[in-house]
Amino acid sequence: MAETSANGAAAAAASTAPNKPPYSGKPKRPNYNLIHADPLPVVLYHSPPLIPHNPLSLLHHLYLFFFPPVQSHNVKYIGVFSPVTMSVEVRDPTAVLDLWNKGFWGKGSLSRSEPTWLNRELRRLGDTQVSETSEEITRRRRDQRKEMKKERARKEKEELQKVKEAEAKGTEENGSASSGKPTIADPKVVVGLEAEISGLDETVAAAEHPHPSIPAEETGLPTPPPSSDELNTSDGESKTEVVNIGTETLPVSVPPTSESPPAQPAKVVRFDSNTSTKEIPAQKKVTVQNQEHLQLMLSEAFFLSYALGILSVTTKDSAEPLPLEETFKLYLRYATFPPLPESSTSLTKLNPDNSFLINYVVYHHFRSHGWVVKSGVKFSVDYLLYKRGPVFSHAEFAILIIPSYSRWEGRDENIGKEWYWLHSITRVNSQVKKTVVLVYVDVPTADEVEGWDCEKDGLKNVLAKYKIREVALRRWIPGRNRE
Amino acid sequence: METDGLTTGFDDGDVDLSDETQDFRFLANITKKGGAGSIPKRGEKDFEPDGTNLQSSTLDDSRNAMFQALSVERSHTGKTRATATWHPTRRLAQIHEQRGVLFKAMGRADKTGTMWLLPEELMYMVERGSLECFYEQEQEIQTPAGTDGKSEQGININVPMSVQAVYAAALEATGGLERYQVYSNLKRSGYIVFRDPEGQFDDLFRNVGYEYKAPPPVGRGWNIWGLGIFGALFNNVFWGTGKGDPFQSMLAPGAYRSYAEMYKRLAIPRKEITWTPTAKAGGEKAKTSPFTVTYHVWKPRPNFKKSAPGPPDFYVCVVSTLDTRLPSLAEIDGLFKDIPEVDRATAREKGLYQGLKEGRRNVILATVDYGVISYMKFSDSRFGDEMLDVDPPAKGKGKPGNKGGKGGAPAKK
Repeated sequence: MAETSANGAAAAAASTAPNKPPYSGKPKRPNYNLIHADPLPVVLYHSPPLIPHNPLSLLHHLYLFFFPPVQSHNVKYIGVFSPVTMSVEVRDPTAVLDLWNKGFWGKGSLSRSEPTWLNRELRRLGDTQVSETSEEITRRRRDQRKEMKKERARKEKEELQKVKEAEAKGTEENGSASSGKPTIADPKVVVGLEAEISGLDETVAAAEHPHPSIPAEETGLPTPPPSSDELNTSDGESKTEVVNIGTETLPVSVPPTSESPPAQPAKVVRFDSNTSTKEIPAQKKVTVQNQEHLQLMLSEAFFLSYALGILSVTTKDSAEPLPLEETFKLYLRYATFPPLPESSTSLTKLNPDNSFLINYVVYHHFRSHGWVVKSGVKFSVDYLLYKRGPVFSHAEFAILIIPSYSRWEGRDENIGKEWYWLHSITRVNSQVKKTVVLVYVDVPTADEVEGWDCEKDGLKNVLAKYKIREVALRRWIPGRNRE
Repeated sequence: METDGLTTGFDDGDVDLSDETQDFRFLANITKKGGAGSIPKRGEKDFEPDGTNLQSSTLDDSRNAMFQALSVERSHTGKTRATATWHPTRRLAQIHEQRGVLFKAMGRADKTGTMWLLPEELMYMVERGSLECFYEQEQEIQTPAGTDGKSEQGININVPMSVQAVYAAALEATGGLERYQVYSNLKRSGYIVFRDPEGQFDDLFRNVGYEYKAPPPVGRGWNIWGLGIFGALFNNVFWGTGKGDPFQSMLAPGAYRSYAEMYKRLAIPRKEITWTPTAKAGGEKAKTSPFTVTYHVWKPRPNFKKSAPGPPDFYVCVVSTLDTRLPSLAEIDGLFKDIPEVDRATAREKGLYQGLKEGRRNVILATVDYGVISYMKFSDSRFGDEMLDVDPPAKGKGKPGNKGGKGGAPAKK
């Protein structure tokens, strides 16, 4: 099922620019406004125009009101709860595509964000029909930066050499007894500096020819990842992935390719722009089994299951979807590590101070106000807020959740974090131009939520009892606010 | 499409030049007699010795320039010599004659026309050499009998105080070293700084000529309350209440004409928008909280009037890293309570992002860590009041402007 030829994402990307001849200029960005037009994976119903003076139209509208011809979401996606990665995995390609395109849910298990592993793999094997992935663009930019740094280091070295030569000449002319300034420089330091500069050259050279045999570590500099595969796994999120593959027994062998051996680099054939599109039969097409799935955070998965009602969650043990309260219990248990024992979590005696609940309250709060909420683990925060989505703009806000227990008897309110902790986080986030927002969540007591599990909309009422207060932080510099 | 930050470079607004070590050679141009040199541009930063004479001589030049600048003789002309007497019991300094431009934004005169300085103002002026301070022994303490005390009083009066002596005498009355450090840092940066009237110990300074209190919030949350009640009624009438599925999906399948309609159903109404402190957190605790507004700060302006300064530009709260941590919700709430609030429309004028960043009101927390001050602005953001555009931009027949407008701030890069 996963081996749909030229996968869905590629098809979507291609469909936006259907009849344009391939040209050699800068590749055009897909029309994200079209691909990501829907903020939720549900279907809108566009009613026919109402004509007030036409009784038939009125009747028609009345009929439509009571018997709507379109159901917004009768589709149910299936996700599998994975206790190892503490996430929900979605494997059906159409579901993955839908969830990503309509609301940017989850992330690809082998990608930085959008599930692009298949496209990258196809491109690596020489498929010419797939457009460039964001990972490739990033890598190219990093290479350019490396090149720039190398060039800068070279220039600095030249400059230094020039100064040294001039100074050596000067001392020769003046003689050793001249009153020139004393050289305080330590020759050892100079040697060290030169070694470092040459070391930089070496590492760059090593990066250019990806032969892992060159031990670049000896120079003492951080080694750039030698190959693309390592680059993709260097994002920190993938640690869990390794575990995942280990437990699951996925076929890790070389994916089956249709014809040519994958080691041979594919030729990129360029056609003249006046060649008609029908005459391009030589385009290469490769079939690869997709080994990537979509990972949903527990908050995301629960929002899809509970708030929207379009995701059913199963466990590895059975294909039967869990009822929603079982899913809820499961998430509550897996909010901590190691997970709570099954006996300690009951719905009637709900503990409101559960980190899954607190995280979910915040997630729901921002999602329901139209933000696209993604995990902020890369920036040492809880969530990132995107307006419309990650393909449109960078995240502007970084969310830090601060639980508060003002209603809890006998619980000390003032066990705050240290200032240095906050300063380190704001520093990291100002480097990437994000504003850190402290989200204080005032947690209700267990008494306040009692009896929720037999009320209608009980969970909604529980969520409403958490009070939320956002405080945005910005560094303030006296020298820059005087005007 | 996240970048890892290196490409975006530094945010100019966040780079504090004073954090870096200065190249003091520019001082040589200023201290040179008649040298009309302008302050040069900052050059490349050297991180380690590279073994050249050029570098070491540059370093020497810079060091010499700094020493030279420091060794310049500082003098005062008799015309602007101002003097004051420190009154330990009142913990204020009395000005004898006010001269100089600094008094425009400092001190306060009582009914008799005598000018009084707060301890931090006194310390600041003595430290920068604008004022000479004398010590006065109070008659009541020193001479209970009153006969032989006269000679003693005569001796004690007019004893000049060193900077150290002024620190020793007045520091406690400023509210602690951290507060004074922030005060002098802001003053040296050019700001006009006054204590929060609540923090004044002397009645003379307590009444201020400006409105600084927030008007009591009127009718906030009314709409939501109303909706909540009617919504509940509606639910009761149409759907019945009480027992039911606690996990009822918030978005029932059906025909929706816009995404905004769906998001309305997804919203969780919270009855109280502002958090009200309970008995546990309020009262006594709130009063002793270190998180209270310490200073009111105005941007430097030529027509500033002490008597009618207008509302402050910034509110600063000084805390020490030694005895405080990240403020709790109750502390944050107590801090914001003292500050006037702008309404939503005013906050939104600057745009969505800017409005959320500045918030309805904000306070600057100056955290002092062993003398190192870092300022951070805490803003009351109210994300809950803002609903983003969720519906896709109208499919455009010749409406390119609309497209951009919906997207809001253009994507970076």
